[in-house]
Amino acid sequence: MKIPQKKVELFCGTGGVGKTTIATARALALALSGKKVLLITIDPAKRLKQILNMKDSDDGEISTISLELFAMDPVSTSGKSFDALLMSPRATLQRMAIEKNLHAEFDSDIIKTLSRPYGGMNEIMSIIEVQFQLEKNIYDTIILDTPPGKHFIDFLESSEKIKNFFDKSFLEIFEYLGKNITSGGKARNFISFIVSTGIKKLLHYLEDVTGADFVREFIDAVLALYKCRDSFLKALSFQKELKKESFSNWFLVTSVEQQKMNEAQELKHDAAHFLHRDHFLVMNKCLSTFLDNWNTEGNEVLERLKQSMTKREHELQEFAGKNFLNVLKFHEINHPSPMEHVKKLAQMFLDQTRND
Amino acid sequence: MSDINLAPHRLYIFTGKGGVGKTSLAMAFTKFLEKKGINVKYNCFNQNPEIALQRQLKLPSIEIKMESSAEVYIGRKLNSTTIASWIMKTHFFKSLFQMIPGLGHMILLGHLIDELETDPTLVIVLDSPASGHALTMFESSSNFKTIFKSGLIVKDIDRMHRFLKGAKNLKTHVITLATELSLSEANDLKQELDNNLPDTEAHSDLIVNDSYKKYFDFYQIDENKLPNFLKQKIELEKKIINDYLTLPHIDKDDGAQIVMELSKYMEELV
Repeated sequence: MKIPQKKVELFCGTGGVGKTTIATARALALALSGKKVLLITIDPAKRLKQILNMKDSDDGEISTISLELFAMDPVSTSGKSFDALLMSPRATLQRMAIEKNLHAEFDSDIIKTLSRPYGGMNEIMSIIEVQFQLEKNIYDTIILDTPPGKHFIDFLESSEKIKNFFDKSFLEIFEYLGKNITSGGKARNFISFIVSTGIKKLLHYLEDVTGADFVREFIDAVLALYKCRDSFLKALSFQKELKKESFSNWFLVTSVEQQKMNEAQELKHDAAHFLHRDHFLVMNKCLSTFLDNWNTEGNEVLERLKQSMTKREHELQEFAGKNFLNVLKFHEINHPSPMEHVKKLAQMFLDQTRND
Repeated sequence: MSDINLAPHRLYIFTGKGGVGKTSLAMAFTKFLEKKGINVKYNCFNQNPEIALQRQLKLPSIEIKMESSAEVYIGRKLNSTTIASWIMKTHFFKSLFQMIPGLGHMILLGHLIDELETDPTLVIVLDSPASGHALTMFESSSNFKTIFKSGLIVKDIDRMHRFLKGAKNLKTHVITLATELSLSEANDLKQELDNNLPDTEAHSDLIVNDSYKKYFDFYQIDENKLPNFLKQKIELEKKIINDYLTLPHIDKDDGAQIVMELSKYMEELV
């Protein structure tokens, strides 16, 4: 199977399927074949950290990972490396604040909360980050390990969310409140405007629910974000690029380990909606090579176990064959070290894509 | 009519990374409590509910949708559903919910706690994913106090905290698979959950799910008879299982059968 070289590769899938490990293995495989690679992970569990011996202080900063760390054949790794970035919504936002000179405005409890790892700006910030890194033009390929979410569509839809946010909620709030947003008015002006337009009562109820200061501070925070509108909307148009065949490869990661058929089905459904031809179903943790060679010697329990394991994998395999053009199979690795997992999976990537 | 039995805790939260078997376990636990005559309800916490499976199992459940939850909840706090629906329709609130998913999760939790306070016999089993749910609802409640400062939501956060910290109301089970990586992630999650509800008696524990070692022990299978890949699996399991409560692999492939089989192992989770 051939995997064409693209500017961006996206790894999607639910949690627990080994998505981050596979994405890291892909980075290693590309780096081994001489490509300049950046791996971005926004998985808040930060599995990558464990694998690459990174620390919390590395969040939001690019680290260069020497392939010598992987203790493989010195000839193939000598002098080679790949870059890795642990996505930090706050760091990305900080950069925007500096660019737009919005330090003071961004120093608010609300914005700090929003940009926490679970704050709700994870996805859009990662799109902004990919775009920023892409514009540096130093990488052959940027690999994005998407957040686990329900499934990867959440990631795409997050930008729709931002669009709605700016186009509807934001604009209507501001048109409602007054038209002098760009002149740098502070919330207090809007509050007085609200009062003068007779929606004081509504505000009164809002304040009952959220506290009076909050309404004012929230409007301040929204204003600050509004001033970065360009960056958000740019990220939005960039999201369309991600869907182009010439630009991206999509890897949909699924695992044989658990009852993942429903999720594979969902992936298929979404794939039909969103994806171009270059998408790959990754079947992780396959056991068939082991199961085929297992002689249970007539033991009833073992035979039943073997059959249930075989059936599970067979069903996924059949489903994959019917619904996906490109299927990559990775067999299960039983090894205590995550590093070994990455190495072996990288080797499997190289083996499977070398065939033709 | 027989008396309704009570469980040691009021709210059981099953959480952990994707694919560790939270839903099966939460459902099995609900069936287990039901069988003991406890007034128990399963809640899928704003995930897509597995309706077919719930029906097949005749699972007692309580379903609350995020938007309507917020409306009902705020209505109760303001003593007016009209004003609540009015508030929820404002752009201000719509954008607030869009930008801060944790707010919705917290309100959902507040709503469930309302139910528990209304009916003192009720027990709720919450099936809650780690990312974005279990963490946001605890984490956000402290965050929201910082950002809201005053008003109804803050008052209610205090009430929720009182309930969660109250005498053994809360029990959190963090589920993990029997692998080193999964276990270390589960430990991180447990720690974060504990940190997010400070000054509370330890409310969370780790449960290792889908263990092959436990499965072979149960059937008294001699390890030497196993093929290499299973021997390796078991060796890895032995290194990490230690004293954790461990549940066996279930060799069924039908969802309802898995749940019913698991429900036989739930005694220690109470």
